[in-house]
Amino acid sequence: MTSEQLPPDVVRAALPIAVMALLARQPAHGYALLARLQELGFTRTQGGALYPLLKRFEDAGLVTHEWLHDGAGPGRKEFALTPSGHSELTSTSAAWNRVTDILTNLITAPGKTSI
Amino acid sequence: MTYEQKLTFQLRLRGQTDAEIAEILREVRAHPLADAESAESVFGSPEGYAENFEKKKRRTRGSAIVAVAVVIAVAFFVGYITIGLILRNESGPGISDFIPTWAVSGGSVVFVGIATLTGFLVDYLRPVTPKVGQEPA
Repeated sequence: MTSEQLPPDVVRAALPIAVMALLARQPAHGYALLARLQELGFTRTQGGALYPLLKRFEDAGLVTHEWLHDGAGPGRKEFALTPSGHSELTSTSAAWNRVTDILTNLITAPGKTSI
Repeated sequence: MTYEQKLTFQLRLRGQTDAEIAEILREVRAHPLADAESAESVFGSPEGYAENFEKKKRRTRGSAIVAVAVVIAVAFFVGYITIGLILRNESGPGISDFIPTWAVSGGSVVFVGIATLTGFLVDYLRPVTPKVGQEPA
């Protein structure tokens, strides 16, 4: 699926879960997260959306960071998911799956669901 | 003005502390840019990027300067009126014979205007402390 097929509203809703899911696999710095997100189809996502999101995660205690210096230059800021972040990912993913199930039922069997 | 200077000003307007601004600027500098990329193409305009961060009810140094100037101007004007009322009942010259009312009101407006300009320049030009790259205390 290309980014053109992902409406901005869907990307906005899915991005926090995608970022938490990526960080749950392994700690990563912003550039690597962006590259991975773009591979996954979030091609329009840029640093302007990612870093403020990570800041909000940090303020909420879901993510922590560490500056890594492996030579000259400004270093890399590596983000990692905290235990609270793992819990948040679990509950948010469950909610997302419920919404997906509801929409799937509505779309595939519209006549069988009463309003 | 560079991208970082514009971003600093916009973040100050949103009530971010200097330590928070330094951290955000450090992220901007640490993000590798491809040949065709610029900070603006990756992070968006300074105004747009700053809007993604929480707006806090924190007075900037510039707005504090303006607030103090307004208080001083109002106090001076009220004092002038009060003294004028007191001296009006006496037979001698009134206060407006020494300082005309237009000069007091005009002076107050000019004073607040200069303070507003000063406050703007302080927020716009003042470098971030701690310097970008230093760990915040």
